[in-house]
Amino acid sequence: MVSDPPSPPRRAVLTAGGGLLGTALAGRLALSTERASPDRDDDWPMDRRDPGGTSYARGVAGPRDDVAVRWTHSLDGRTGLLAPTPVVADGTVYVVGDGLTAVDAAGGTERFHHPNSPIAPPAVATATAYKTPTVVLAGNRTLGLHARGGPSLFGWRPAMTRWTTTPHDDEPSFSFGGPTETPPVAADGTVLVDSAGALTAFDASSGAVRWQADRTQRRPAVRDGTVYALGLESLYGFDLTRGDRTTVATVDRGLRSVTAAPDRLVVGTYESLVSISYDGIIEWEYAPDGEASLEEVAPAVADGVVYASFAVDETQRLLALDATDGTTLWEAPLAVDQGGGRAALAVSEAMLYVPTPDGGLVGVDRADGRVRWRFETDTAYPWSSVAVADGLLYAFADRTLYALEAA
Amino acid sequence: MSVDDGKRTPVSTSALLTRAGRLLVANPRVFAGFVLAGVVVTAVDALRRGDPVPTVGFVGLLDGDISVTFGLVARVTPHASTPLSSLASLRTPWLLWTGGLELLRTGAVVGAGVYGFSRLLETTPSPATVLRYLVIFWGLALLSFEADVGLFLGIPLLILFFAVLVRLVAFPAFLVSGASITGALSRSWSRTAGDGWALFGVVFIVGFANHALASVPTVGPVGSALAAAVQVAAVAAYVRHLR
Repeated sequence: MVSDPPSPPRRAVLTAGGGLLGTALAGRLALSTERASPDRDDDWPMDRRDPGGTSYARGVAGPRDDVAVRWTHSLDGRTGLLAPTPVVADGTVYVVGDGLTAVDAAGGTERFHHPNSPIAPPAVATATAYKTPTVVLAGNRTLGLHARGGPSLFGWRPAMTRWTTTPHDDEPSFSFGGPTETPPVAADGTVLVDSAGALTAFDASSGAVRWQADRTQRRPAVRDGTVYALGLESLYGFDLTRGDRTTVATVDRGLRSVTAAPDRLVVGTYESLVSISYDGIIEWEYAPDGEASLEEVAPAVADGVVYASFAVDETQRLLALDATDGTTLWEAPLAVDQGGGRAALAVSEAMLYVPTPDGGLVGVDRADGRVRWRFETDTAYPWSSVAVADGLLYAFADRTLYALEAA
Repeated sequence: MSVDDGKRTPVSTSALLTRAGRLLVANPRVFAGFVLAGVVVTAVDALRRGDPVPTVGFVGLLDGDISVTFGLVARVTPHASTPLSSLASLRTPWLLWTGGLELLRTGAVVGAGVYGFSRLLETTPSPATVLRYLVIFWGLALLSFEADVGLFLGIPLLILFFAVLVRLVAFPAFLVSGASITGALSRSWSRTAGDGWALFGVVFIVGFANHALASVPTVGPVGSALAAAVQVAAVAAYVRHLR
């Protein structure tokens, strides 16, 4: 038989519970709508710079007449000969190889290193709950990292990883067109990752899955709340928030890239460029005369001009097209290094920055396609694509990260 | 029956669990306290899954994970917990939100545990006692870790872990009865000598039940709380047996 013992002070317990709930609610109610955003005009926070994939650093005056080395950072032992485009956000350059290395954009000193080894460049995304953005790495698993590596305790950074998904067995593979591991794309606090057989939309702050869809082809493009993703011959639109899918247009050609420019979608096929309105109407299609194919280089779109690389009769050409009707503005006999399927052009206010296969990084005048400068190293290793931020160019060659400035 | 002379009546797992059931039937408020704690943990889970602060989900039987969940102090397994690493650089309102909910969740479980022991052992805990229980609860939560150590090292470590755990099973009951932390540890260690297998049976059965019930989708924490109530009652029954 158990007697009735004296009760604990229930009122005190209730008061304490109410206080705790009040603290939580006070925090919730005090939330502002401000977010830790990497979307400064001077940043290059993801592959092809923005959610639409325009590769255009609007308002940034990159080096025009010549370049000089501001700093270099050796990644010897941490990467192979090829590396994807560096990503720049909030004064930090992120480059992947054998892990992710974060380097101070101004001085080139290393800030932190994470051992996870993705193939694609990361995306730096808005994080609703945090003072700093989240760096999202996609690979065997998807990770959200503290953009500054988190607090350091004698070099140990226990809070570097904010969230992670369970590793999957779908290892990145290579096809004829390049790596199937597509770069993550960040837009409005959501990160799109095409991996493990699915296109997944993650909340960049919490890592929660917002929606999933069947795997698509190549890097998606995002504009005004819609994710544009490629099927084999069709362009699909997904609602960024809910993932509802619609077919935007069917092109009846093999598709290899999509760019969501302010006024239109520019879709690259294997032999042409196609302009599609946001209503799904095909406006124009451009293919050079002769035996032509569109190179494995993502086109760039800036101020109503499309820049793309074609191979015509086995000769590579860089072209500028009027985005309204597809007419040729200029054409330059310049080959673009395809970077194992990862290459993209980079555009500043006045210049195009082009990695070439003969070892040189080239500055091209947007007005007429003229080569204004060529920067070469002693070795003939290929260059990565360029990130343009704060007036500097960031690119990778010969196991070294370069920051180049106007000479 | 008194038993400091080494002639204590042996206790069995089934006897302890039977007495635990009787104690809970006779004290339904203890049971209700844990159900309430389970509901609070479930509600906090739902809130946490909808906010932008990262959480780690629970891996249970439905995910192929077979485990024994038996804390030194009774715990209710949440389905959305917060990794410490995700707290760095949180904006102040979200830090308050997350910390407040964690405190609420902890308070509910600690409150149910302290209330349960106090009623079943017929004692009145002082504020200092509650604070000590809370410190131990949080300390153990911070110390908990998983390690992939391989079979050769893992099995001996597992045996050592359970050997120590069964000797400390009575620790929270002595703590709530007013003993200091070191006093409760030493009393538990000395008084449980000879009852290791019976207590291991309780740890194994209640721990597996906790994990299995926690594996129920969405309301798993309520199931885990039911097992935690049985844990507290079984430990209380054992300490009453020692008196």
